[in-house]
Amino acid sequence: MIRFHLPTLGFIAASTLALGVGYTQGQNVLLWLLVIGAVLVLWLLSEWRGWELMAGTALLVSLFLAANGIASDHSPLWMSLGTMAALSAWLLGNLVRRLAPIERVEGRGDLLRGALVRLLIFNALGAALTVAALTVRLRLNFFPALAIGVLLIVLLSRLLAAPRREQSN
Amino acid sequence: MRRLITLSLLIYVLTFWALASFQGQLLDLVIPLVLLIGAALLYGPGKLDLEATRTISTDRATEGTQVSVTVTVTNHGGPIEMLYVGDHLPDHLSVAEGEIEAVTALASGETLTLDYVVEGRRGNYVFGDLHVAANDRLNLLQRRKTLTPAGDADFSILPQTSRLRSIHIRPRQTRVFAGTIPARVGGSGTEFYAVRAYQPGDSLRHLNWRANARHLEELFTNEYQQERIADVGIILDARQRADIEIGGESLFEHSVLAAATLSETFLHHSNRVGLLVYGRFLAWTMPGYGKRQKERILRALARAEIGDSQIFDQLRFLPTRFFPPKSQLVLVTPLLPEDPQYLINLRARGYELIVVSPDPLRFERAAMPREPVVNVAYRIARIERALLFDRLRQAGIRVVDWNVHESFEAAVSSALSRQPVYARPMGILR
Repeated sequence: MIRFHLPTLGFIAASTLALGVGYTQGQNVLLWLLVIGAVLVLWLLSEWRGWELMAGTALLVSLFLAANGIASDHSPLWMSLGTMAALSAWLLGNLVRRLAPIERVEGRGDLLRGALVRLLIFNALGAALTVAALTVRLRLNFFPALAIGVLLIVLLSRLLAAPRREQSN
Repeated sequence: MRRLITLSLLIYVLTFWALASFQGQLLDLVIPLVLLIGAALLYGPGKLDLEATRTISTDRATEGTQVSVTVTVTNHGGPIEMLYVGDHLPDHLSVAEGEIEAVTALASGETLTLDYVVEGRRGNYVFGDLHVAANDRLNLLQRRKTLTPAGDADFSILPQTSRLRSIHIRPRQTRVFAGTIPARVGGSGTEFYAVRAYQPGDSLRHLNWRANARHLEELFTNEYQQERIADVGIILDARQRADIEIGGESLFEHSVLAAATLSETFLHHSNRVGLLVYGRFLAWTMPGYGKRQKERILRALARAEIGDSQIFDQLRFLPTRFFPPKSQLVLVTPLLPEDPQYLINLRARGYELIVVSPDPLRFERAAMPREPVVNVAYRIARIERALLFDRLRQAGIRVVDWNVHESFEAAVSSALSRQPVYARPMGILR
């Protein structure tokens, strides 16, 4: 079973590494590295004990660290890479945990391999889009930006509500 | 879906953070989240169009036998990247072989089959709906559904029965058909009934030579009792407070076995047998004859459950209208202290009554420590129980005190078999 956890551990390591590299460029390096180390321990514990809530907490802290890093003028590329790796670790860990107690999983390896391939594509696409986003700079005033933000939120809400509505019907 | 909502919440939070702090670069972090949600919506399962069937190898089994269940789920909709199928197993059934849940990718038109073998204790088992959940590969978007499978939905595990050699009963009223029970009416039979004056046509083999020797003017002949079938009502006590459960073993299960064995024996001797389960409610099986009736009674016993009811808490409301007057009643009960008065009332109404009582004291004693206090309490309880039995016997009710750790047949044959001729006048065996 351990081989199914290895890709998750790889993503956790990649996330920690990316955030760590990003934070080495600023001040209070030791403090932030300690926090990142604590997140790493949280991730590993959640994987070892199968605690889903702890994995979710580790993801939230990782995202906070990435957002805080960007807000503190650290490299947005490293922070985005850290976020993507953390998301991948969270999703893959969840999937492995969900399949673990079920004895009969037809093509367990194929299912996990398929998920891993999709995550790798997602990471590659995400990295490319992030690089593109970093090179493109749009200057927006507050109110147009707010309008775009609200529009994004409304669209997202409607998009997510559609499958739920369908299911309840 | 929960994961998808978490991701959306993160998008909201990051967007507000970016807007509030005037830092557009924070929106970079939104990109992977939006990508994941897009992938989930793109590859997520569409509307589920699944068809399920369930096949159970038998609709009746006996305790200790295994029953095979086959569940198939066919996908008539679009391909599903990951499908979970789980069958709902009724309580008290356990899986002996195979799995009741599976995960697989299911293309359009493909079928998933679950094969498993179950075993369990006596009972009527009704299977529930199937739980299915379809996901995308990353388990972000999930659609759940419950499917009601076509085909078999239930089966019964019937109690084990054995047939006793004979149970001697003598109800005051019998039915008209020939059987094995002395009918208190003169005629052809095996048991002596009376001596009467010889009638032309009587068999010379039945002449009573002693009486004829004393009366030289007249001839006398022996008359025998007619043997007929009878109505037998079996009453199973399913009151919660009459039951004892120790380490998962219930005294009620022994009562059920006793009732099954008694019904099998009475039906084998061509009697008309009915069953009343007296517990949370009255479960009545109409009297009948033969193998079909045996099946009906066994199925009723398979369904029998311990229950609590304020109305049927005492035997006071035992409905006599179910049983023909002056018929034979057999009550299977551990016996509570207040029960004898109601049983004596039944006896006074003309019913012949047998009480088969699985012994709750010995049943409980086996699980208790051998301490002096327990021993004294046990002896007192035994005396109280003996007094209850004496009260019943004085009213003409026959009692079988059955130690459930010993064979039921041995208990019944010593208490209910026909007494030898020499013992009848003295009553030394009862």
